[in-house]
Amino acid sequence: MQPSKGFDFFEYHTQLAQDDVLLSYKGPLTDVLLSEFSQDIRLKLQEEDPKVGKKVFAIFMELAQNVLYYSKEVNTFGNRDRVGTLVIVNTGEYYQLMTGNLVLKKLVPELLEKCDKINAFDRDELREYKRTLRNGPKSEESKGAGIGLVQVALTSGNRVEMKVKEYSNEFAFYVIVVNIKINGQDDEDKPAPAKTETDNCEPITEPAKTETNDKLNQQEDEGETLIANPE
Amino acid sequence: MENLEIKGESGVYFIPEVKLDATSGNCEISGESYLEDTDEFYNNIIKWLDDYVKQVKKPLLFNFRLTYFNTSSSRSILNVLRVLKQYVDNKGSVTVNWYYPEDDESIAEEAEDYMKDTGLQINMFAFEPED
Repeated sequence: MQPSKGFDFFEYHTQLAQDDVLLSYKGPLTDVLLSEFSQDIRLKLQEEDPKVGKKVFAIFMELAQNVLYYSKEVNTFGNRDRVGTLVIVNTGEYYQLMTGNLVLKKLVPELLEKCDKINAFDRDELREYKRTLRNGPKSEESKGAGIGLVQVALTSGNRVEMKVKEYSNEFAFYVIVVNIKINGQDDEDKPAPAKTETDNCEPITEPAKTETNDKLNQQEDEGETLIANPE
Repeated sequence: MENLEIKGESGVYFIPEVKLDATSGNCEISGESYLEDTDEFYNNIIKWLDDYVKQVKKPLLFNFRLTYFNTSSSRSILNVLRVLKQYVDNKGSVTVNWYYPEDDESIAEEAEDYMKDTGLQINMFAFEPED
């Protein structure tokens, strides 16, 4: 891994101030926290435009639940909450929702394939695909309905952008980006194809070192890595 | 047979309001659905419907008036509708009304998709949400 350039607080602060950042969080996620965030989003956005506010809220719920259920980064103390990053930015034209978390590297091709599939469908095909998934048996590891991402594409009326960076031999950092048009209309033409990206450069974020001790065995069937919470 | 009533609540989770009346056969689920244990919640409704179909055997009116539900709930709602369709197939009388917020076409689309999935007739009505 290349040496870190160090954290530039001023750059960070400038960036936070430039774009209208509605939410920026990295850390352990819990049901209570999600509830606080989601109610906050509703209050902030529904006054301006209830329809768009509701879309942002619904998409946030699906994406955040994905992180809450599937992130492979886990706090080593407390309730062993899963760790992830949640960001909502107002770009002027769009509300941009971003989530990031670690996933098993071997699952990446499958995730990218599903994303490409979703982005290639028109609205009717997406609805059809959602119905097929919903009618099928619940996948065993899926705590939700397994159709969250399809619903996100339907609700946003936009493509789902997926970015993956290698993190270690076993894990990858996985980012989802979704845009919701602020004037409330779905884009007539979907914006420029949000290509799924993979590369092998430095991870976007650098969580503390992965433990590979015997605590791994406590996770039984899940095989998660354990990441100490950075102090 | 007893009625089933669940008080709606919006806290860490969003519990929809449920009123299932065994005497009149009128049922309604309204509000928002995002639950800690979605399967358990909707299985209670399905269990009640199973009992009604076996014991009461009278007409059923089921009103859906949901303003938000997550994808996990959407799968469970499909299961509720399947039970209602089964009652129809067994000569039961069932009316399903789907009230959707007028500014939320995705909830309207859900009803269309549920009709395709179940073959059940669902009457759709737009309403102006309070609040």
